[in-house]
Parts: sequence; C-alpha cells; structure tokens
Amino acid sequence: MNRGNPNSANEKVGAALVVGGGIGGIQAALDLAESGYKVYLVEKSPAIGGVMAQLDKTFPTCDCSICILSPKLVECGRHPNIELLTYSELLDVQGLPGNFRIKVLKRARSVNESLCTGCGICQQKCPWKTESEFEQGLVQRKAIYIPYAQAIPNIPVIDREICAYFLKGKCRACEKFCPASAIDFSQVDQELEIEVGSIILCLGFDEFDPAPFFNYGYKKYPNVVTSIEFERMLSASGPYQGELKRPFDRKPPKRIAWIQCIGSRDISCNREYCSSVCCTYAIKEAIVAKEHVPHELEETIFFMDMRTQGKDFDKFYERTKKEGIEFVRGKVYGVEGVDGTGNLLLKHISENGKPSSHEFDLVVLSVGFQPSPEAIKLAKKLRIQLNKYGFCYTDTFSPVETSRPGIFVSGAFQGPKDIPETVMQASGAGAKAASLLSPARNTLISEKTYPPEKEVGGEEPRIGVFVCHCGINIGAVVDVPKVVEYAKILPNVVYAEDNLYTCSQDAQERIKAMIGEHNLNRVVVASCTPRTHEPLFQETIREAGLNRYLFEMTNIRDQCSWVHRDHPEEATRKAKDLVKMAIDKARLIQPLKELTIPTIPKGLVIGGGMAGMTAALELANQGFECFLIEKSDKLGGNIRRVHYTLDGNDVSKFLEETIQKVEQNELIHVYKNADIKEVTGYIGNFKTTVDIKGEEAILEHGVIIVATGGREYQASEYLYGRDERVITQLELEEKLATHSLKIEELSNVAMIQCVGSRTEERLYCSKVCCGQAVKNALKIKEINPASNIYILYKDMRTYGFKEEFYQKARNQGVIFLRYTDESKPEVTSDNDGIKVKIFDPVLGEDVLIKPDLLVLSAGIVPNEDNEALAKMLKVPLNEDGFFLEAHVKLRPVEFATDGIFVCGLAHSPKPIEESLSQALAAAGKAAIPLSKGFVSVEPIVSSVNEEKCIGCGLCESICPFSAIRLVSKNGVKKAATIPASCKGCGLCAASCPQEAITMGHFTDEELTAQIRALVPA
Amino acid sequence: MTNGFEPQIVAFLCNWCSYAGADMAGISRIQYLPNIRVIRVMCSGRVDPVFICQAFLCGFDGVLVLGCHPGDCHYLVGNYHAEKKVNRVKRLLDITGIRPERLYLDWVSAAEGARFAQIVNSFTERIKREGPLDKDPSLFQRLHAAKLTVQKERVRWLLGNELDLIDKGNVYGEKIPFDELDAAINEALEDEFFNSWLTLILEEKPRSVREMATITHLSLQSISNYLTDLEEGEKISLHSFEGRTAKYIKSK
Repeated sequence: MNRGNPNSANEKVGAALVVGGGIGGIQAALDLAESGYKVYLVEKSPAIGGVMAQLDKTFPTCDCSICILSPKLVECGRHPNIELLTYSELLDVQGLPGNFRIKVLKRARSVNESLCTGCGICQQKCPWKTESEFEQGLVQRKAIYIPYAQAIPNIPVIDREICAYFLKGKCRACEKFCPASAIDFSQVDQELEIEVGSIILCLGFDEFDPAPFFNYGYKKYPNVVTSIEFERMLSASGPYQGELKRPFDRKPPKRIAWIQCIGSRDISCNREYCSSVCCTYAIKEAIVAKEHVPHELEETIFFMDMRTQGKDFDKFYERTKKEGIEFVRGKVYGVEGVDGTGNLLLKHISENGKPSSHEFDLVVLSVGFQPSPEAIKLAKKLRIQLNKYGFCYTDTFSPVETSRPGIFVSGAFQGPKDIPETVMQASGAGAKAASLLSPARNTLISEKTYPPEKEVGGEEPRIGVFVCHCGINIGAVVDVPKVVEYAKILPNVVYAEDNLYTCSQDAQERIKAMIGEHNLNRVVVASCTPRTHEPLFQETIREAGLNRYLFEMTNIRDQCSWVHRDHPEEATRKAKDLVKMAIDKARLIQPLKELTIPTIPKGLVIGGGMAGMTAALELANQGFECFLIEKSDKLGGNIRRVHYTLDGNDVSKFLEETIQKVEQNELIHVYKNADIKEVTGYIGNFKTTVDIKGEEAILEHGVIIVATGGREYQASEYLYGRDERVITQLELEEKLATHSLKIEELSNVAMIQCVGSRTEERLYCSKVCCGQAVKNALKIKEINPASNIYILYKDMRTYGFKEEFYQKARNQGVIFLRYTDESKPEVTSDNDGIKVKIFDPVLGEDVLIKPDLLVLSAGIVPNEDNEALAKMLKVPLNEDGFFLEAHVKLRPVEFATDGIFVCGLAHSPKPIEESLSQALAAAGKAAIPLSKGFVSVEPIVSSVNEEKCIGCGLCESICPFSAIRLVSKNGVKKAATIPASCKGCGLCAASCPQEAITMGHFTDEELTAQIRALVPA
Repeated sequence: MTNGFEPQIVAFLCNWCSYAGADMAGISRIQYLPNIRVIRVMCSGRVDPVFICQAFLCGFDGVLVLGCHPGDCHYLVGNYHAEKKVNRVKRLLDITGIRPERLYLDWVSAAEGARFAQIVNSFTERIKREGPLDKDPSLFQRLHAAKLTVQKERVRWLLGNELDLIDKGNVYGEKIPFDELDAAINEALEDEFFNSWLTLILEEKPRSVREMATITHLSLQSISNYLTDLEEGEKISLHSFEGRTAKYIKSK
C-alpha cells in the first residue's frame, strides 16, 4: 500500500510523521495539521493519550488530567489532516530530509474500524482476562478491550496472546454479541509505505521499575506501590473508582509515605540524572489524597532536595506545608513489612546520619523516568545519537533536533520533563518540522466538511441537557442524577442525561446521537468552565448540523463541587439553579453567522534577546516577514552576560552567529532603540505604533510574540554593593570569561543560593542559579583545584542531566552546606575580610567561612516594563509579574487573547535550552493563523434595531474599538456595527438610550431570562 | 439578623478576568459561601442598570458585579463604565429605599482565586447582616419604578456618557466639572424615578395629590410639579373630582 503523493526526490513532501501518541505527539500533530501539513500519528498502543491519560490530577493546579487532555484527544481524532495509525510501529526510514520514505507496521486489531461503534459489548461478553496495562495491573482487562474510557480511537482490539479463539480456535463470544458485525478474526498485520517530509519522535518514557531493588519491598509487599499506580488508585475511573484503599486489605490508609528519587539520582542503578518531576508530583499526590478521604491523613514525603523549580511550583510546595504534609530530608534505605498488618516500616537515615524507622499503612515509590527499550531500539535503527542513559541526545542550542537532519524530538524521550515543557518542546519540534517543509505547505491537506446547518428559526426549542460527573470531581459532591432529574422536568427540555466525562469522545458521539434521535435544537452542558471546554462542545453540535451558538454551558465544577466540597446539599441546589439558568437562556439563543477575516501574514516580536531572535528566525524560516523590536541598541539581551553553559558550550559564539543570522535575514526587520507606544487591533490585524529613536512608525501584522525577557535581581543583602568582594554569579562569569580575576590566588570562595528567589517577597525559584553556581564552581576548580568552594543552598536544584555536574562538583571537593529560612547565612566584613556564618545541619553546629570572594546567586526578576506592556496587550501577569499563559499545562506559550504568544524569561525564569524550545513553540503557534491566511471571528457582536435607533451617536462615541458608527440610511442616521472590529464587550448595548442595541449570544432577553430563572413560578 | 437567613445573590462576572478568577478559586479548591449564582457576560461594561434593577425585582437580596482591575479590561474601558453605572444605580437604590450596600462592584483578575472567594464571602456576610430584601408590594412598586427610570432615554444618555463627559467633555469640548455633572445626573435620576413611581401609583387607581403625597412622602408642591410634567407628556390625566379634590389617573 502506498500513501502520500508521488514526488520526485528533490521536491519536499507536505506531510509529517509523528511517532508517539502521548501529549507531546498529540500537540505536535495538531500544530502541524493546523499549519497546513498532513500528519501521520503512529502510536504503538491501541489508543493515543500516553501517560497523561493515566494521571489523576496535574500539578500545580490539581486540574483533572483526563479532563484537560480529553478535548485534545477528541480534536486529534476528528482532525481532517491527522491520520491516526494506532496499534502500529515505525519500522524503517529511508531518504533525505524533506523526502523520507517510511514503513509502518499496522498490527491487526481484529476489529473492523469502520464498522465498530465503540459500544463496548464485546468487552463485557469476553470471558478471557489478563492484567490491565492502563490500570498498572491493579485490575484485569479482557482479551478484547478498549484501553480506557476516553480512548481515541474508541475501538477495541483483540489481544491475540490471550484470546481463546487465537489460542485454541474456540469461543468467538465477541463476534456473536457484536451488534455491528465488526469483529474480524481474519485481519492480518499490514505494512504501509508512506512519504513524509519530516519526522518527530515523541517516544515518551517508561517508569523506572523498582522490583529488582529488593530493599524497597516493591512486589513483595502489596502496600508498596509506584507513583503511577497511585495515580490510578486516586482516579475516579481507576481500579477503586477513586476511593483511596490499600491494595492489601482494601482499607483506607491513614498514614502514607512517599519515597523520592527511586531510580533517580542513584548511581547504583546507572541513573545519575534527576527525573525533574517527581518532587512536584509527590506533593500533588499528597494533596489530592487528602481530598479523597474524610478522615485525617498523616502524610510524609521523604526526600533529598525539594526540586519544585517550575513556574509557580514553590507556591504549591509552601501551600502543601501548611496543609500539614510532613517533609523529611534524608535517605530511606529500606522498607520492611510489619507482620500480618500490611503495614510497612521505613528505615531512614537523616541528613546528620541518624537512623530511625517509621511505620506507614501505604508507601508510594516516586519512580523516575527512563527511556523505553523500544524507543532505544527504534532510535538505533534510525541511527540517532543517544546519551549515555539512552535518552535522545540534543545540543543545548538546538533542543528539538536529533543528530539526524529532518528528524526532531520532543518530550521525555529527550530527557525527563513535565507536561508543559513537553508541550512546548512538541510545538517547537512542530515548528522546526514545518519550516523544513514550508515550500510544500497546504499541498496535501483537505478541508473539514460539515453537514449543512439545520434551520431552527421558528422551531419550538427542543433542549438536550448533559450533566457531567467529571469522574468524581463533580459527582462526589453534587448529586448529578438529581440534577438530571430536575432538568428533565423543565419546559422545553426533551432530553437529559449524565455522563462520567461529558468531554470524552464517546460522550461526543452520544451528544450527536441524541441530537438526531430527539431532534434537539439547543444543547446545554453542565460541567466545567466554558473558557476551556466550550469550543469542543460547539464543534460537536456543529458536526451534528447545529449552529455552534445553539449551545450553552454552565460550570458546576469550579463553581459548585470544588468550592463547596463540604456542603453537598448546597452544592447540588446551586448546580440545579445554574442548570436552570442555562436552560432558560438556551431557550432564547439563536444561531449566529461566523465571519472570517484575512490575516496580515507578518509577525511582531517584542524583545531582541535570545528568545525573541529565535522566534523571529523561526517565523522567517516558515516564510513569514516579521518585525523584531529591541528597546536597547544591541540584540542579545541577558545572554550577552552568559559565556558558557554547564556542559561547556560556547554561548558567546552562538549569540554572535544568531545575531548575524537575524540581521542578514531579508524577512526580519530589526528595530533597535525602539519602544512600543500603542497596540490596537486583534488577531490577524494588529497595528502597532513604535517609537524608534524619537520617530514613530506604524507596523501592521497578524500576530505578536512577547519575548521581553527578565533581569537579574538587584541584591541589597549580604553586603552586595557595599563590599567589592561580594559579586553576583553573572559578574563572576564575566570575570572568568575575560580572565580579569586571579583565580589562582583565591583560596576560599563562598556562594549563596536563592538570593532574591524563594523569599517571602518572591516565592518562586529562578531555576538557573543552582546550575550556574555549579558551573562557575567547576570552572574555578578547573583553574585552581586547591581552592575551597562552599555553596550555601536551600535545595540543590540541578534537575535533569544537570545532576551529573552537581555530583562532579561534589566529587571535586566543592562543599555544599544547606541553610534554611530560619538560619540564613550571616555575612559580615571587617579589615580581616568577609566572614560567613552558617549553621550546618549535618554537623549540627555553626561553621565560619572566610571567603576571598562571596558570590551571590541572584535570581531572575520580571522586567519592569511588563506591566505597561501587559496593559497595552490586555494580557495578564501572574502574582510575581511574569506573563500568565492561557493554561499552565496545555497552552504554555499562548494567551487567552488570540494571536498573542509568549516565550523566554518574560514567561518565567528558565535556562537557555528551555527558552529556545519555548521560542520555537511560540513561533510555531504564531505561524498557524499566518499560514491559514484568515481567522474566524467570534460572532458575539452587537446589532442595532434600526426601528428603535434614533441616531443619537452615543454608541459611536463610547465604543472603545470604533466598531459602531452612524451611517446614513434613506437620509436618516442610524447606528451600524462593523462586525470585524466589534469585540463583543456589549458596552453599547448597556448604554444605548433607546435600548436599541443588543449583543449576539448575550442579548437583553437572554440575560434577563437568566436573572429571572430563579423566581419561583 | 443573620440567624438562618441564606441570601440569594446574583453575580455578573466578566469572561476574561473575574470569571477566570472564579475558575482559579475552583482549581485552587478555595472554599467559599454557596449563595451566589453566576451570570457570565463578556465584559462588566455589558451590565445594563436594567439588569441590576431586574435582579432585585426578581427577589435577589444582593447583586455583585465583578470586572477586570483598572487598566486590565480586555475591552480597554468597559470596567470604568461599569463603575460609573454601578455607582449611579446605588444612588438610585437609595432613592428607591434599598440600601446601596446590597449592590457591590469590585475587581478580580484571572489569577486571583483567593480574592474572588474573599469578595464573595464578605459580600455574602454583608447581605446576611442586611437581612432579606423586603418583599412588600410597595417596595416592589418602587423597584419597578427604578427599573423604568434606568430605561428612560435621558437617564441612559447621562449614564452612558458620564465617563466621556468627564474625560473628553461635551460636544463643544467643554469639560464639565464633576460636581455639576454629579448634581445633574442625580437630579435626573430623582425626577425620572418619581415620575415613574407616580405613574405606577396612578396606574392602580385614581388618586389625589394628597394621597400621592402620603404614599411617596413628597411635599404637595413637588407632587404638583411632577404631575404638571406628566400631564404635559400625556402620561397621566385628570380622572374625576371627589368634592373639590381632583383625582388623577394614568393615561391609557
């Protein structure tokens, strides 16, 4: 079988292959498909979703994991330009970048995909069982199975290893009961040959298997579980239906322990690296577990360093401490069973070497990440360079490129990382894959077609109501069936039902089926927030032939179950009220016509630092013109002060090369000494006024990328600025690079971490300083091995592969002394020199250091201009003054406002490789509306009742967007809306003296109906 | 007053900041009092004074309007307009005989889940102290008059224009001193309120000036002045005489 268009060898193919259907692969596929490429998404298991589908909640917001993932799964499954090849494997890649010929093995599902309806009867009837992979073996699945409830595609597969028909030629129960005659035992494996232009590897990770390490008692004691098993135990759709029970006796545990760094930071199992995410996920699990039980839960996390370095993670950590979760430093060296009880005894050695033991009911092993053997095998077959642990090797300055041109990488296969970083990297890899193929953009795609919209005007409203349990997120507090019963008796409601997850693919099919069966012409969903989920349901009803605006949503999770946890009756009453309000509005809602407007195919990048330059280059590589605005007289930003990376790369050289590329690129217009004065317009059509050395220019563009960077914290503590022997890490680096310091003469150097970070005032981690300190310490040791270097830290956060350098520093004799907020180092100076006093918890006494040089690891603070820019762009900042993205997990480079993106330090502190990935991601995302050539405008716009309008002009004078104006109609002035300019605020409607203006989807009548909804009849 | 009274509160939240702030409260599992019922609007500037009066007419004990912080409005100035309008409706509520404390406007950003919960709690507590909204027919009638007031062209013109009149000046470019404008708007509110109320009173049955004065606590002189206006506008007319006392009625 042959797919793709036949191309001559030098022509590029407008299609890409994404290998791996986890969140990274899904994101890369969606981005590429949206920017005009055909995508083949190959996943080895029967469904996409990956590990994220198994997680119960995500940190640091404790968002329900499957709830935020599910819309993406559905989008991926229904995208006209994505071909899902599940239960498939990549076998071989031939050819060159731009023109690869690949071979994919599509294994036999034994189910006809086009006939199967996903009803699941086969699963119920099948008598053969084995351990469920998705449920981590905690329960069993059948021989024919759909891996999980929200799986995409929602089609079962027969596991031929245990199916009795394949083993013994008998049974065929599934075939007998299948109402669609979809079972096909005769299917055989197929080899597909496909042509693609580029390839992205999103091969994910395996959890470390602790079974061979007997000391932790895993597999020996049933109540020792891994963190991923614990996620399933917490999940409402998991083996215990969300009830927290011990595997041993199914009793609720009262004391739970987490042991960190299982298979991470452990040289004994060849895993020297840090898995980066386990500290934060353990905290999350501890918090979530508390929500699951009514009784007091004693929870202890045993750890070495608390590595909560991500954006807003430290706030999460601090909050957890207040919730009574105990954090114990040191090392657990053994777990033993307590006879007959199922309880466990943890053997622990504290920081100062004191042994102790603690009894728990349940022990969770926080297992680390490792590359899967299949991934390693595939990478070797593709001749891709791996690092010594088997993760994909990438260069610091090209964080999404493998060693083989045209093949890109993202996610945990490149190194342990969390979801937002995976998503960023995926979008970054997508951008790179897209720019390689930009000449072939839009050559292999097809437009999605919809059934014609049903005419509903004049019809009596027939409303369908779908109420979501959201697993147990809503259902555990709100009595969902009661809400459904209540909705059923309301006027015009012809159908109501509850769903475990209304956002799942099968629920979308249900909604569509019910629209058909009951001839519904309005749909109401009561679930979570319309801010994230409304587009999904709108798409569903559109597919069923209803206009997108015949939909109304109400939020009974964020406004009921999550915030009135202890008052289920009140929460249920409120949910009923909210549902009634939505129904009363829905009765009146009308179809609205959507508009599309052309986009200006140019971008504006604000900030000429490394992130801004990278984003501008990427936009240009994709073929789009862009303006790069730099407020100073030089490109480069903060990176000018960095000279080398931890792994020894030459930053200065890379910077010079990048500046040269930017300045020589014909598509990039660089404006230095430039200040943004005003930004008007909207996605596709922005107009920005820039002051360039006193002269104003007006730039027109379709998208904006914010890359304004951050700056070094201006220290006032520890004698900085008062004693010249006290300098910052950046100053030290400058001196080391320019050889302006006599390193040979230094005998003692002290470094203090977390200066300006993780303080009460700035409760966030600057992420780069621990690596910076280790880097500079190693540099000094290299020149002067006899010097004594003391690093005074709170937690060493050398996450990921940086851990190796931390260990190297320790091995080379750098002394690490931990301090706490209660016992900060005291720094004094006199003629004798600087003195640093610190309490050493290991020795249990004060230590006095007399350094020749005191180096402060000053953190990263937001730019002072952020506030003004945020106001101009109408995008939010977080509490610390960094830009706040649209969604911390799944939309890490976008704002809620369409057409504006963020990357680099403007978003949060981060090291260079992460900034670069994020810049690529922002450019990739920004390129989507540019490549489409148009944007759809929400039809929530004002409209004027000309009979009532007297042409007074109040609306024209107050409209902030000049989107309504007086026009002469038959000699009489009447107000008229300019739909493309109208943003839908409704100010004119609320002010019109004649009440002659109303708003689409928020009419006076609709809002009044909501207000009146609760008046007793 | 708080014993067992659970107020009904309606909250208008703007899509971009305060609704997102409420989501943040949810995501952060911040627990707050369950008395509010949320209506999502795109901007706090969408909140027509009519909606607020309607909410009280529907029996809500309190009305909350939450928008973006000053300068953060997704629609640039919608929140400033909302602030002006809400302040005027407070004044109108005062005239109507409802404590303006039952209406409250504040700002909540998308990041401020805790602030959202705190505002909801303190407003709910406040309304608990205020007690239930009087359900007597007279208040209902006055509220109805208040709603009619904010539907009057003159009032809507002033309320819609207030911000611009202060910031940009009138059509001649004259900036009107705040005190003068304030007095003018309040006068308009008062006039239109009593005009509306008297019309409603006369809709029930024919009444004399003295009877109207007893109901409204206005002076005989004021009533006469309003009646003159209303008669001129053909809103009311002379119905009959009882002895020498003239009785008026709402025009058909």
